[in-house]
Amino acid sequence: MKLRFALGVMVLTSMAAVAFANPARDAILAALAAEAKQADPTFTGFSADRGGALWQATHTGGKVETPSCTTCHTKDPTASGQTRAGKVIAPMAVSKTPDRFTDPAKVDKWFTRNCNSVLGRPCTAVEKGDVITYLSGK
Amino acid sequence: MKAFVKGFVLTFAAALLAAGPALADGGIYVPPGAKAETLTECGACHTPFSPQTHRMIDWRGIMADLADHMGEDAQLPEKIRADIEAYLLANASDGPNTRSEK
Repeated sequence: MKLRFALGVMVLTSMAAVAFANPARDAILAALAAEAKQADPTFTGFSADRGGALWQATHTGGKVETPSCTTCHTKDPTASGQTRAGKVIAPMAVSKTPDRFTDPAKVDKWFTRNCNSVLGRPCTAVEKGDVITYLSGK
Repeated sequence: MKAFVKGFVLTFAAALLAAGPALADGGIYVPPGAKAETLTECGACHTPFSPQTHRMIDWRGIMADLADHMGEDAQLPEKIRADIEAYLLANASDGPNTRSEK
């Protein structure tokens, strides 16, 4: 009886621990890490801090209407954003929108568009991984 | 064995013919799901416009320059872009589907 209870607790805690982990997101991050390592053999891992800095910064080089990720997504990743045409964008924080960064095609599409809009160039694998890591912890 | 293969090919050809009506009068093939893709992809950023709000020539221009779409980068993978364009052209104000309705 006691054993069964202990097992139940273990199952529940492990479920809570992986609540924000997701095999699909892990695979996307692993692919980006491999790409980053190939570009720079000294790459050691993604950084939520670097991702947050990139996310919050005001950039030049992209379109004047969109100098920052926060232009549309707001400074708070747990808040809803708004497209320039007025549509609501669900929060980017994985804690609020759990299926964020789980569909490779969707991730590709939006990094392609938005890095071009905000930075005026494609994002590197490190930048993408950093941003995903930042938003996964929010 | 050969007869079996022949029968199979004939069945396949018949199936292709049956799929024929998917071709609009003007010869624009609109893949199944293209309307749903249009609503999803266009609707991600703005209220999707009905295809009939624009002429074919206007839709062609819009879909040819998604990298600068009203000042926004709205690029799509080519297959999805082409599907959406087919749906918009076929149902444009002067598109084959719209004309044949009248």
